[in-house]
Amino acid sequence: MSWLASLPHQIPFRAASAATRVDDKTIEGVCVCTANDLMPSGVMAVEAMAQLGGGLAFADSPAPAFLSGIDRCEIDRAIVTGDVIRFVVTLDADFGGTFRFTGRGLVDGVEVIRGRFYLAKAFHLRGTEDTEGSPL
Amino acid sequence: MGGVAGPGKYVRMTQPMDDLRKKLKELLIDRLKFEDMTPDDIKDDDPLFAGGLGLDSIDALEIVVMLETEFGIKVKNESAARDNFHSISSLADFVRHRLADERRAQV
Repeated sequence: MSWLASLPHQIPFRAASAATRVDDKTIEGVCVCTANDLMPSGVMAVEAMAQLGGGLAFADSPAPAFLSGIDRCEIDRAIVTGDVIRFVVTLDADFGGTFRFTGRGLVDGVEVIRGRFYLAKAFHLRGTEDTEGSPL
Repeated sequence: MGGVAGPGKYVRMTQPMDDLRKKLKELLIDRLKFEDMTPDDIKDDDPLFAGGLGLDSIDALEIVVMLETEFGIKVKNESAARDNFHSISSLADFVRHRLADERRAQV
């Protein structure tokens, strides 16, 4: 089973259709925009980059995590049904359970979307005061 | 023709720690996008996290990245952050000590 299939995001919200881990800091993936997408294609493209980042950070050691930030996200043109977006997502830095990624997506070889994403391990998801492992 | 010393040219020589603190404040404002703040708005001993500027874990990561890109300092463990990211003063002390350690290691 690929790590994509193990993501908590599955149909209808698994945005990344395929992925190849290039190295410890780089992952490539594909998002196919269809008329059945739950959200607008641009939203799905952003989500795809975040999911690919999650695959990069947590494929070897799955852990509860969530998308904690989106920064400098730009979409150059409308992303529409039928677009096949090829993504490259790189891990810029990680510290204390927080990960920063940069992603960019190309349609037919032309970059159409880019952004910076943060994922955080879920230290506090259960609503407790337990901060073990939290950096600060 | 000899050059004329511009404003602040000798600040680094006479007040290196003040200069470093100011640089750290400028970097934080720029990197964390405190658009309405100036270095003077951040006191040297103000807490950076809870109860102070209110930075969070994403900001902590950005400080780690900032230290590496601006000063070549790698923060490898979280205890170093806990111990040294309290305020601008403690951050400046940390930078100064790490840079001094590196200089000694190169001798």
